[in-house]
Amino acid sequence: MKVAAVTAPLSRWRDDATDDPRRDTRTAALLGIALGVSFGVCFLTGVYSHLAQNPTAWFELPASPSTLYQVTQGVHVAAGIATVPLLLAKLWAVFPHLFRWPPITGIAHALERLTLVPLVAGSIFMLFSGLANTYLWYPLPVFFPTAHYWVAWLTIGALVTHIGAKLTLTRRALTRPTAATTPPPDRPVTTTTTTAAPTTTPLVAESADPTARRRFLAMVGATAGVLTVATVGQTVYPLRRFALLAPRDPDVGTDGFPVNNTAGEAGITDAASDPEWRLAVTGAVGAALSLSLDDLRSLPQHEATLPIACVEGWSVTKRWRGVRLADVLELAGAPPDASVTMQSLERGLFGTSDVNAGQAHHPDTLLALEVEGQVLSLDHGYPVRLIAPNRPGVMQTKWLSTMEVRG
Amino acid sequence: MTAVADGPTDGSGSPADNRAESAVPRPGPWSWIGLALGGAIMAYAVWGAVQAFSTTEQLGLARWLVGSAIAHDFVLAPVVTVIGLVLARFLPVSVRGPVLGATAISGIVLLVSWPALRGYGLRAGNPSILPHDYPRNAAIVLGLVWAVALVVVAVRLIRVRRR
Repeated sequence: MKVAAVTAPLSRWRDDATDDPRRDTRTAALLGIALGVSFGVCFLTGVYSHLAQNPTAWFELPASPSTLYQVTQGVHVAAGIATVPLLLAKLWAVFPHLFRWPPITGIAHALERLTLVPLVAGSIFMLFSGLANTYLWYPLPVFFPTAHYWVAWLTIGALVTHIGAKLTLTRRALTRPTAATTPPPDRPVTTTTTTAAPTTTPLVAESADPTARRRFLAMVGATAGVLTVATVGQTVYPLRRFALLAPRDPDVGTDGFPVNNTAGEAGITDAASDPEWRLAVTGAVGAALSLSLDDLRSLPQHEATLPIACVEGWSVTKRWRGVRLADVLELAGAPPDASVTMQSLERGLFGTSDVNAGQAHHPDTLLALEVEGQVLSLDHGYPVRLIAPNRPGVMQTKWLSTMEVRG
Repeated sequence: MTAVADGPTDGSGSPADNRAESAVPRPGPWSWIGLALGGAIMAYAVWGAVQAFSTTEQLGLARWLVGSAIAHDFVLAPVVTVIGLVLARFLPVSVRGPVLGATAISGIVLLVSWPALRGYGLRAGNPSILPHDYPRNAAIVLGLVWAVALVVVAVRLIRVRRR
């Protein structure tokens, strides 16, 4: 009896809550579809970024459109941020079902509820870790990109299972008019489930109000809107003045735009300022080169307007000036289908990047010496950095020291 | 959510049909297709994580995953539920919607901008990280949200008075 004293108010709260139109099947279905779309967008743009940073035999990062990486990653982060209120609303709506009784009704139901663990845990983990990355904040005990990538697969797998389990219910909830409470003809009424007649006294105040669901969903949309307006200006330049809560401002930083890794942090200040600095061109070349800054300046200079776009969600488009990578490859007598590995003065994880043949020979791919008419600052890669179309910012290698050509 | 039921609550006779997922539908073919396909994807994810991480890292990741679910289900959700019940009980009907809505928006905006407000990720020597005055900016955003909520309340009160 003591157990009943505890469980009775709980089950009454649960029953009241689930009769609330803000928490019924239709609301859960609508939020579920919105989440399916936003998770799908985040997953596809995320996998694209993964492929861009981890080239495989069957995927070669194209050189055009030059803004593809910028747009996909801007969408990835914006969709992720807008998903926060969607996910919280969905979890709030279905939260009472955590306490359903009996907890399971069969093997299929048990498996379906079991997959909610990776679904809920994975969803929260993805939004939390992704958001933390936009702040360059790394509280996880694991390398962020790897964890974010594999938990994405876990979450999408759980989502596929969940969609399969809820497809029939969702379709039914959306085809039926909101107010109707009669079961569809294809669903037999069991003896234990009587249907709510329209005359039934509402168990909760809100359920009497047919607009409660609409107002609830409008509020969820408004929250997503507020978050988007307050952050998306970090990548959508015209909206930067509204980006009050964005972790980056495209106009703030050395040379007037953000820096992820400063010269001081990379520990290359002395090596990069050394007048003895040379760019070595080695590997599959006719003649190995050792180019000084003056050598590079004496080669034909070209301009390209290209974005720096980072997975953290900020991006900015700048006018770069320098030597075409293709010209240097020709000078060194590299084969026409050569690809290049760029080595920075900085050692470590982000010190090298591969440039595939298509990008290496694109006329906009530069060994940049200047940005916006100014000599590059140390923070942005002085004496010379790579800038190429449609590339992750982390692969626009700064402080170049060696170009390893591969035939 | 507030008015406690004094209607018919005979246990079996609740209006279950419109209640979110309360009636468990029999598993159809889609359930099994989803389970097979989703199960395979999840197995791939577990295999990938096992390949990529050391045992210590795997345990750390698992702890964070389980912690995420626990933090929501046993901390955030109960706290939000209690706040919602309390606010709904003590607020007059005319202001309830706008105040609940503005409270929810404020909570989520603060949650999302928490690292900026706390300065997580700040690094000496890189002023391009977190360049704004975030407490001030959060106050501006929340001020606008509550201003809209107040306008909605005012309009409602005026309408009620006119009737």
